Amino acid sequence: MRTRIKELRARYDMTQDDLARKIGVRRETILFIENGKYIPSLKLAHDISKVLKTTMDELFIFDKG
Amino acid sequence: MNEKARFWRFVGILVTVLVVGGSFAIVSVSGSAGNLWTLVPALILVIMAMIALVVARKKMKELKSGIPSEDERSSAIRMRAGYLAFFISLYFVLGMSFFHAMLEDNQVSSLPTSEWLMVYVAAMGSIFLALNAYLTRKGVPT
Repeated sequence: MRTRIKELRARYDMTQDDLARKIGVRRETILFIENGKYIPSLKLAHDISKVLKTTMDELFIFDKG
Repeated sequence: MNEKARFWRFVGILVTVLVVGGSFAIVSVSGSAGNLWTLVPALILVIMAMIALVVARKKMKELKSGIPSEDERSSAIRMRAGYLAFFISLYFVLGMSFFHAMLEDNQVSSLPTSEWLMVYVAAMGSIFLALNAYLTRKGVPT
Protein backbone atom coordinates (compact mmCIF):
# COMPACT_ATOMS: atom_id res chain seq x y z
CA MET A 1 0.00 0.00 0.00
CA ARG A 2 1.20 3.51 -0.83
CA THR A 3 -0.25 6.76 0.38
CA ARG A 4 -0.25 10.39 -0.69
CA ILE A 5 -0.43 11.63 2.88
CA LYS A 6 3.08 13.12 2.85
CA GLU A 7 2.39 15.00 -0.40
CA LEU A 8 -0.91 16.39 0.83
CA ARG A 9 0.53 17.29 4.22
CA ALA A 10 3.17 19.34 2.45
CA ARG A 11 0.47 21.02 0.38
CA TYR A 12 -1.33 22.17 3.52
CA ASP A 13 1.96 22.88 5.35
CA MET A 14 1.13 20.34 8.00
CA THR A 15 3.55 18.28 10.10
CA GLN A 16 2.92 14.67 11.12
CA ASP A 17 2.32 15.97 14.64
CA ASP A 18 -0.29 18.51 13.42
CA LEU A 19 -2.16 15.82 11.50
CA ALA A 20 -1.98 13.38 14.41
CA ARG A 21 -3.38 15.96 16.83
CA LYS A 22 -6.25 16.84 14.46
CA ILE A 23 -7.26 13.20 14.18
CA GLY A 24 -6.50 12.26 17.77
CA VAL A 25 -3.84 9.59 17.19
CA ARG A 26 -0.16 9.29 18.04
CA ARG A 27 2.43 10.73 15.64
CA GLU A 28 4.00 7.28 15.11
CA THR A 29 0.69 6.03 13.70
CA ILE A 30 0.82 8.68 10.97
CA LEU A 31 4.47 7.79 10.29
CA PHE A 32 3.68 4.09 9.87
CA ILE A 33 0.65 4.79 7.66
CA GLU A 34 2.73 7.14 5.48
CA ASN A 35 5.37 4.45 5.04
CA GLY A 36 2.72 1.87 4.17
CA LYS A 37 3.61 -0.23 7.20
CA TYR A 38 0.21 0.07 8.84
CA ILE A 39 -3.17 -0.13 7.17
CA PRO A 40 -5.57 2.15 9.07
CA SER A 41 -9.14 1.31 9.96
CA LEU A 42 -11.93 2.62 7.75
CA LYS A 43 -12.75 5.33 10.30
CA LEU A 44 -9.15 6.53 10.61
CA ALA A 45 -8.69 6.49 6.82
CA HIS A 46 -11.90 8.55 6.54
CA ASP A 47 -10.71 11.02 9.19
CA ILE A 48 -7.33 11.49 7.50
CA SER A 49 -8.87 12.04 4.09
CA LYS A 50 -11.32 14.55 5.58
CA VAL A 51 -8.54 16.58 7.22
CA LEU A 52 -6.49 16.49 4.01
CA LYS A 53 -9.59 17.46 1.97
CA THR A 54 -9.48 14.49 -0.36
CA THR A 55 -11.09 11.10 -0.84
CA MET A 56 -9.89 7.79 0.56
CA ASP A 57 -9.50 6.50 -2.98
CA GLU A 58 -7.08 9.32 -3.81
CA LEU A 59 -5.18 9.01 -0.55
CA PHE A 60 -4.51 5.28 -0.42
CA ILE A 61 -3.12 3.43 -3.40
CA PHE A 62 -3.23 -0.35 -3.26
CA ASP A 63 -0.80 -2.02 -5.67
CA LYS A 64 -2.07 -5.06 -7.51
CA GLY A 65 -0.57 -8.39 -6.60
CA MET B 1 -12.38 6.64 29.59
CA ASN B 2 -10.46 9.90 29.22
CA GLU B 3 -6.68 10.21 29.32
CA LYS B 4 -6.47 11.57 32.87
CA ALA B 5 -8.69 8.81 34.29
CA ARG B 6 -6.65 6.21 32.39
CA PHE B 7 -3.41 7.60 33.87
CA TRP B 8 -4.73 7.58 37.44
CA ARG B 9 -6.08 4.04 36.96
CA PHE B 10 -2.55 3.02 35.92
CA VAL B 11 -1.07 4.71 39.03
CA GLY B 12 -3.72 3.04 41.26
CA ILE B 13 -3.00 -0.46 39.93
CA LEU B 14 0.72 0.15 40.20
CA VAL B 15 0.59 1.34 43.82
CA THR B 16 -1.62 -1.64 44.77
CA VAL B 17 0.77 -4.13 43.14
CA LEU B 18 3.81 -2.51 44.75
CA VAL B 19 2.22 -2.38 48.24
CA VAL B 20 0.96 -6.00 48.11
CA GLY B 21 4.23 -7.21 46.54
CA GLY B 22 6.29 -5.20 49.03
CA SER B 23 4.39 -6.70 51.98
CA PHE B 24 4.89 -10.17 50.53
CA ALA B 25 8.62 -9.57 50.00
CA ILE B 26 9.07 -8.27 53.59
CA VAL B 27 7.21 -11.27 55.06
CA SER B 28 9.10 -13.65 52.77
CA VAL B 29 12.55 -12.24 53.65
CA SER B 30 11.90 -11.90 57.41
CA GLY B 31 10.36 -15.38 57.61
CA SER B 32 13.42 -17.17 56.32
CA ALA B 33 16.56 -15.33 57.34
CA GLY B 34 19.72 -16.49 55.64
CA ASN B 35 18.03 -17.89 52.54
CA LEU B 36 19.17 -15.69 49.67
CA TRP B 37 16.55 -17.14 47.29
CA THR B 38 13.84 -15.27 49.21
CA LEU B 39 15.42 -12.00 48.04
CA VAL B 40 14.24 -12.83 44.47
CA PRO B 41 10.69 -11.39 44.94
CA ALA B 42 12.15 -8.22 46.47
CA LEU B 43 14.54 -7.89 43.53
CA ILE B 44 11.68 -8.39 41.04
CA LEU B 45 9.70 -5.74 42.86
CA VAL B 46 12.54 -3.22 42.69
CA ILE B 47 12.92 -3.85 38.94
CA MET B 48 9.14 -3.52 38.48
CA ALA B 49 9.11 -0.25 40.42
CA MET B 50 11.95 1.16 38.31
CA ILE B 51 10.25 0.22 35.02
CA ALA B 52 6.93 1.60 36.32
CA LEU B 53 8.58 4.89 37.25
CA VAL B 54 9.98 5.32 33.74
CA VAL B 55 6.59 4.42 32.15
CA ALA B 56 4.69 6.75 34.52
CA ARG B 57 7.04 9.66 33.75
CA LYS B 58 6.63 9.07 30.00
CA LYS B 59 2.84 8.86 30.33
CA MET B 60 2.74 12.03 32.47
CA LYS B 61 4.80 13.91 29.86
CA GLU B 62 2.45 12.74 27.08
CA LEU B 63 -0.61 13.63 29.13
CA LYS B 64 0.69 17.18 29.60
CA SER B 65 1.45 17.62 25.88
CA GLY B 66 -1.98 16.31 24.87
CA ILE B 67 -0.76 13.19 23.02
CA PRO B 68 -3.25 10.31 23.33
CA SER B 69 -1.74 7.43 25.31
CA GLU B 70 -3.53 4.94 23.11
CA ASP B 71 -4.85 4.81 19.56
CA GLU B 72 -5.91 2.05 17.17
CA ARG B 73 -2.32 1.15 16.21
CA SER B 74 -1.09 0.91 19.80
CA SER B 75 -4.18 -1.18 20.69
CA ALA B 76 -3.39 -3.52 17.79
CA ILE B 77 0.24 -3.79 18.96
CA ARG B 78 -0.82 -4.49 22.55
CA MET B 79 -3.23 -7.20 21.42
CA ARG B 80 -0.64 -8.84 19.17
CA ALA B 81 2.04 -8.63 21.90
CA GLY B 82 -0.41 -10.13 24.42
CA TYR B 83 -1.32 -12.96 22.07
CA LEU B 84 2.33 -13.83 21.36
CA ALA B 85 3.37 -13.39 25.01
CA PHE B 86 0.64 -15.83 26.08
CA PHE B 87 1.99 -18.64 23.89
CA ILE B 88 5.67 -17.92 24.60
CA SER B 89 4.89 -17.80 28.34
CA LEU B 90 3.15 -21.18 28.13
CA TYR B 91 6.30 -22.81 26.78
CA PHE B 92 8.48 -20.83 29.17
CA VAL B 93 6.49 -21.88 32.25
CA LEU B 94 6.41 -25.48 31.05
CA GLY B 95 10.19 -25.50 30.56
CA MET B 96 10.86 -23.77 33.87
CA SER B 97 8.53 -26.17 35.69
CA PHE B 98 10.66 -29.10 34.54
CA PHE B 99 13.78 -27.18 35.60
CA HIS B 100 12.19 -26.38 38.99
CA ALA B 101 11.17 -30.01 39.50
CA MET B 102 14.68 -31.14 38.62
CA LEU B 103 16.22 -28.69 41.10
CA GLU B 104 13.82 -29.84 43.81
CA ASP B 105 14.54 -33.52 43.11
CA ASN B 106 18.25 -32.86 43.47
CA GLN B 107 17.63 -30.62 46.50
CA VAL B 108 19.53 -27.77 44.89
CA SER B 109 16.82 -25.10 45.18
CA SER B 110 15.12 -24.17 48.40
CA LEU B 111 13.00 -21.46 46.76
CA PRO B 112 9.34 -22.15 47.55
CA THR B 113 6.81 -22.57 44.73
CA SER B 114 5.13 -19.25 45.59
CA GLU B 115 8.43 -17.44 44.91
CA TRP B 116 8.88 -19.39 41.67
CA LEU B 117 5.42 -18.21 40.66
CA MET B 118 6.55 -14.62 41.14
CA VAL B 119 9.52 -15.32 38.86
CA TYR B 120 7.16 -16.79 36.24
CA VAL B 121 4.81 -13.81 36.40
CA ALA B 122 7.74 -11.39 36.15
CA ALA B 123 9.06 -13.34 33.15
CA MET B 124 5.63 -13.24 31.47
CA GLY B 125 5.49 -9.47 32.03
CA SER B 126 8.99 -9.06 30.64
CA ILE B 127 8.15 -11.12 27.54
CA PHE B 128 5.08 -8.94 26.97
CA LEU B 129 7.07 -5.70 27.43
CA ALA B 130 9.83 -6.90 25.09
CA LEU B 131 7.32 -7.92 22.40
CA ASN B 132 5.43 -4.66 22.82
CA ALA B 133 8.65 -2.65 22.34
CA TYR B 134 9.67 -4.79 19.34
CA LEU B 135 6.28 -4.50 17.60
CA THR B 136 6.14 -0.75 18.31
CA ARG B 137 9.35 -0.37 16.30
CA LYS B 138 8.70 -2.97 13.61
CA GLY B 139 4.92 -2.65 13.25
CA VAL B 140 2.20 -5.27 13.31
CA PRO B 141 1.51 -7.42 10.25
CA THR B 142 -1.70 -6.26 8.56
